[in-house]
Amino acid sequence: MSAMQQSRLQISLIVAGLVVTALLVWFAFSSYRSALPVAQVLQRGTALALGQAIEGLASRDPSFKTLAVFRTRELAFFVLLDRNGTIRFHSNPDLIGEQVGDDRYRSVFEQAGPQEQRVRLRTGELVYETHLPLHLPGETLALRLALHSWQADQIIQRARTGMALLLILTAAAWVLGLLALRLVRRDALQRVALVRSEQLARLGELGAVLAHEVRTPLAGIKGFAQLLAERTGDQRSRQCTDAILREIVRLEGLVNDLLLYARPDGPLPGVVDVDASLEEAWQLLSGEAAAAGISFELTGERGLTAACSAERFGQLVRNLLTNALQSMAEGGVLQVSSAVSNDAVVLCVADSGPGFVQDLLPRVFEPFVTTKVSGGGLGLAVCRRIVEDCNGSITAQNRPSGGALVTVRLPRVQSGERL
Amino acid sequence: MCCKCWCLILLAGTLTVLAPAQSQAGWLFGDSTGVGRSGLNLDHGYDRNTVVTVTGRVAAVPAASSDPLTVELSDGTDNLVVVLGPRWYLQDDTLEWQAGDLVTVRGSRAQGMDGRSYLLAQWISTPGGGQLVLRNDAGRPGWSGGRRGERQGMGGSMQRGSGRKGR
Repeated sequence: MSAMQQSRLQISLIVAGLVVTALLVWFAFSSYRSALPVAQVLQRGTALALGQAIEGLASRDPSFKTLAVFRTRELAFFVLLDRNGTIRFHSNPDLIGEQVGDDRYRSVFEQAGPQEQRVRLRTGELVYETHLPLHLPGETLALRLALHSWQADQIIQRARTGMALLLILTAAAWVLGLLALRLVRRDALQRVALVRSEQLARLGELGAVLAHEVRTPLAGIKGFAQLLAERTGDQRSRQCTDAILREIVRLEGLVNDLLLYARPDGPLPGVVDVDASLEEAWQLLSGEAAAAGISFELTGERGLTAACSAERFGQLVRNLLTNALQSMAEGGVLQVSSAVSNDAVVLCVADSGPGFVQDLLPRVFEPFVTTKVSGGGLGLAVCRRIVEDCNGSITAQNRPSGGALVTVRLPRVQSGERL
Repeated sequence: MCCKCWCLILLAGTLTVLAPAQSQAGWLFGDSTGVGRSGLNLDHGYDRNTVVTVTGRVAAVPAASSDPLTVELSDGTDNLVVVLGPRWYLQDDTLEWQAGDLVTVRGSRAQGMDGRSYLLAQWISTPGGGQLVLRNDAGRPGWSGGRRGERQGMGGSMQRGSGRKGR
């Protein structure tokens, strides 16, 4: 599976997870919300049943003596009130004949419909209170019923706990999923690193072969070609020897790049003067640039120093500039800027060429990836090798205005600091 | 962010969400009196509307370490936690009930958020035939507003002695 497919799969999984999470949250919350009316209906139903029972007893016994022994588990207390607020009956007989201190019972006589609410008693208990009309022979009283609400509260509490558990389990699933995703990504990166390490090992072996079997004879061929070029007077032969020498130089460059890429250097200690290296590299390439009609712009902070071997940094800059020059066959502007960001020296090399081929962009730093006919595809691979050996990073992108942009970040060294 | 950080965040979230769910229950997203597990005001709470007189047998005598002191009573159908008062207030009394003793108690009944029934006692009968009076008729406790033994000056209903258990 390609990296792009993997990325799409991960995005699809995350989107699916978000959808499932949204559904679960909606389900949990709606379940919790539906518990509230269930609890209210339970209390209301109990109150109505008790009200009917009390009305029946009171109708049969106008002295209310039978009410004195009426008890149920749900009942906190109940009171019969007349229009003046006088307590005609109370489950605590001591209060009979007293006046109530509120007018909540009046809704019964004003025919405003049943009134229900939650009231906190002086014991600290929160009870369900409702007022119902009590129709007795000859008069109507208000029945104030106060019910324990523990059972109704339990319904809400369990719904709430269920919702909380569901949300926590969802959150836990997300945490575990993200951890798994992180492990998968780490595993993928390790696999890539392993493949690259094996690739480097193979290239190392190839480099050793090249050094012994190609470089030495190439030096001999080059010597003979130069000798021939000096001795021949024939114009046609001279052109041929020049062509042989050009190709030998190209082959030497390829072999050198390959050896440079495959050589296990490890960390590259040292401090490099960024400006000096840039100017030196440009001096080497200025002739070629002038011939191609390319101008050079150096901007940004000056006097920066980075933690890298001066020799390898020089190679890095030469490769980047060469790569940029080669992409501007029609001429243009080569812009190099240097800056400091978060204790790093940031070097940007931008050209006005056609830019990187979009499909190859993720792989431009891999060896032998190139669109140039005469290129070996090792220039940017060597750049990455150098930058990583200096504990830095390198990225490539196409500029919106056209052309390629390569950004190098290297650890910054303060002036006077030595590694 | 490391695994440990994620686990801590998850644990904190769990406690934040579950703790209120366990301690509160109520309409309109619960209530938050937070007076112990019962949610009741056991020290000073008393409501005359819920005053009852109950006779039952002692199911559990006051625990040595409980505060406030309580007696568990069974009236045949239900168990009732009779709340007597703060330990410091009753420390000089000999609360010599035994399991199975028949006891009559008057007080304000309430149901706690833990589902148990509580009776905030006004007075309770003692095995010797006396009465341990803890609150006046209005429900004001003897330990309210002064040192032990001080008269309450609110109707003189703290009855002691004269055939009843005195202090």
